[in-house]
Amino acid sequence: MEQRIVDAFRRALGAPCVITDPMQLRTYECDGLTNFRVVPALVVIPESAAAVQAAVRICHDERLPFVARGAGTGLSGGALPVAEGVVISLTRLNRILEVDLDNECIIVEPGVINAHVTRHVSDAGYFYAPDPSSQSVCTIGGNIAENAGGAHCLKYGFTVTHVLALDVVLPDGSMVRLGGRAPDRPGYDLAGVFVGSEGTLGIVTRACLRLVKRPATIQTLLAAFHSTDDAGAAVGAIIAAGVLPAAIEIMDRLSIVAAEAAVHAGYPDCGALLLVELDGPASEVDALMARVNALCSACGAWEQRLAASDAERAVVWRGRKAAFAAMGRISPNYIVQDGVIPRTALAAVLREIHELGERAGLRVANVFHAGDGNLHPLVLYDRKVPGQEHAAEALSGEILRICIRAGGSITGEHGVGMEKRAFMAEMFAEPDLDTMQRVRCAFDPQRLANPDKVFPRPRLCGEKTGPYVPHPLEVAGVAEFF
Amino acid sequence: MELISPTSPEELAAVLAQASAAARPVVPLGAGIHQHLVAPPPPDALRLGTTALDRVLEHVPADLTLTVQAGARLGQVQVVLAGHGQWLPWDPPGGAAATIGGLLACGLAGPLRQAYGTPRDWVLGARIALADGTLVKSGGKVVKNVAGYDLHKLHIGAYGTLGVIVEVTFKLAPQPAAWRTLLAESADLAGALEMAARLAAPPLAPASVVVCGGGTHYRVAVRFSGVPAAVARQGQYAAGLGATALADAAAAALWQSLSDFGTPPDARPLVRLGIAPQQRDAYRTAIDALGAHDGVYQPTIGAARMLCADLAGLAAARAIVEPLGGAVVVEHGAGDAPRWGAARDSARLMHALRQRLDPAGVLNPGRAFVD
Repeated sequence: MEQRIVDAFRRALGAPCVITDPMQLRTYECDGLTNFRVVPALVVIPESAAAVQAAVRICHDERLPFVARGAGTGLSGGALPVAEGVVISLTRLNRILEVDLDNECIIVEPGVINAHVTRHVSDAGYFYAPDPSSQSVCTIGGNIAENAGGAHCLKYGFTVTHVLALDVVLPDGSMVRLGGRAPDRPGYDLAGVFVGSEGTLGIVTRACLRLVKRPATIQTLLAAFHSTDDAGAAVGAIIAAGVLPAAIEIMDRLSIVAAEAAVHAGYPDCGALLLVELDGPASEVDALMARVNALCSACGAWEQRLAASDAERAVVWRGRKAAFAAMGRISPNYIVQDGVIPRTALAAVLREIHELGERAGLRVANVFHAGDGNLHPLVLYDRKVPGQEHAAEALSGEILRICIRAGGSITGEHGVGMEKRAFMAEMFAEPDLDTMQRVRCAFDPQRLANPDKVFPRPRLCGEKTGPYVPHPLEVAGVAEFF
Repeated sequence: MELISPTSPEELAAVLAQASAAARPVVPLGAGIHQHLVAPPPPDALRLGTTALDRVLEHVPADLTLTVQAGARLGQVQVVLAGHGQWLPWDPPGGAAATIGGLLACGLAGPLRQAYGTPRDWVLGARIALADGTLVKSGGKVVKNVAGYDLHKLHIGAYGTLGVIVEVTFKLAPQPAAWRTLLAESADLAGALEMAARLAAPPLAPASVVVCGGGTHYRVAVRFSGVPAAVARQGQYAAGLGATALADAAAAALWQSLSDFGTPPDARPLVRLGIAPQQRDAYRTAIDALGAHDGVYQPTIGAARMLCADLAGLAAARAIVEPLGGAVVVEHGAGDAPRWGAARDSARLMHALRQRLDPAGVLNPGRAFVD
């Protein structure tokens, strides 16, 4: 990067907030998806919203692509840098600015860690509902970019349900407030489209989040089944009965073995484990849990254990939330997949995934948010065995195609990022993607914000849709499509 | 004005494409019962009706999902769902007669939003006809999905200015097993608002809390929904606070009238107020400034809809509400008064979006907040 541009960042942000040392830059070369790596030209770590704005202005003036980054725990390569661009790290914007319990909201900077929001208000009896498994390290800014979910979004909704207002630096360096607490305000739902846009529309510098009153009672049931088919049938029965649990999770045999090896959660030794959490007023939870118990028994549960105390529940959840990392106990390498299917397709899709695994000679563990059909198949392989990595990637991609065919989605919570760009064209038709580009161009006509992510073939703003015609910049060798 | 009611999304899209090419204004139309919420249409506009697109396309009870065409009426959809003990937990003005597309385009919600949120929270995906005749989809048919932008959210409350909704997929709720409504009375608004706050505070978790009335007679209506034991217990608690239980038939009629307040409109100006619910003083003083003689108030949401004698207090109410991030909108009877109030600081973005999605500017031009 030209020295004068580096100097401009130093003048605007202060020299300690600008990283140019190649070794230090390498720290930022990837996020949680480590098979994509790009060393950025520059990293800046602004300490205020104004400094974020200043950094984006320089990027805009110099036509430099930029990538916002939180804790870097994303699993789809959304925070992968651009080689000639700038990474804007938000980790120093980590202040909790205002807590307003009367109105059940909290105002935070984007670098605040998800779990710290709940920790900050738990003594007062509140919590922040979105709970991605990485919540002990991931940041609110990243959660907003990805529209993060978690086990409890079945009942409480995703990040988008819990974002009340956002202050955003747009890619031209201007600051704008999206959303707000006032109902029925005339205007387009810009906050609704911004949440989940994976850093392609701007950078959040301040977020007003909804807090939820902790329910009077929480009960977590562990039910042991012989097979995922039986456990899946129980999920269908529970939903059909009109019960809306706070969470319903299934772990298959391989996941249980791995989680046990890693955190000793004391799970029953079974073919499939169903975890059902109910919360609410005590009389309601008691009545509904009795019903859930009966439905589980009817579907073949041969053991049911109730975790009623906070400590017991914590152990149950530790095993579930550690399930990805625990795969390291039973396999040298693994790919985490994230797809969604209609709940009713669960048994058929699991069978199809199992058969694919057998054909490829690979094991696939399954952990999933069964209530909302969000699968997390874990494709296990050994990089040292020639061809296995390639086979695992192919299998992982096929699983997404199964999800699309079943009427589902290629991602329920990890995002498209770098990893699934190509699959967007399989899930959406060209006009659908073009329309998303039109929206992107309204926010970012220069295409500077996280430019290479989400879309299979980013269009330049102003480019005509329809049959492919090379853009003048492409012909001139200034820009290229890939 | 010419009315065309296409019988397929493709036909509807083709009409839009022609209108765009001819730069002819188009007024998208559902049941037509909420047209007063925007400015009158240009005289040469083509009315594009969705009521012939009224099919329920797919209901998967076990998945709690539903896909319908935009011209299906809410009442018709609820009947289909009721057969499976499910529903869309909405009670917008216009009720059963409103089309799904129309109530989404107008961003309508009723008293049930206290517990169930607004329709926005229930939409999983949509199919949209853009102004240039392109049919596009966003979102999907599963409850969890983060692939691409949630474009369907842009069309909710957009009054048809970004495209015409032709199909929508929702998640559904199981119908609550039990309901209970209670009423309290107050001689003044302050007392009624106070009572509403108490009826919405823990341990109570009502489905709706509404204050209605005017002058020296206000009523506070509260309803609870859920499992019978919990509903009964909450009803008892609310009775302890001074509310009286209402019989089911009377309760149903009451809630219908509260949802439908001001619909259809009469000669009086109908004004909508929205402010962050914590701004209780501003909420009160803005309502006083408007001099409402009848209204439906949801203080715990920060929302109100009022019939006023005139709009003499409009500027004063806006001066109270707008600096706090709220808005006062004249839903009907604006006359020469500005309908939408001050532009938001994101107005530039909204214009850019409209420009990108409807470059010919044919969709409801000059009718909504964006032009």
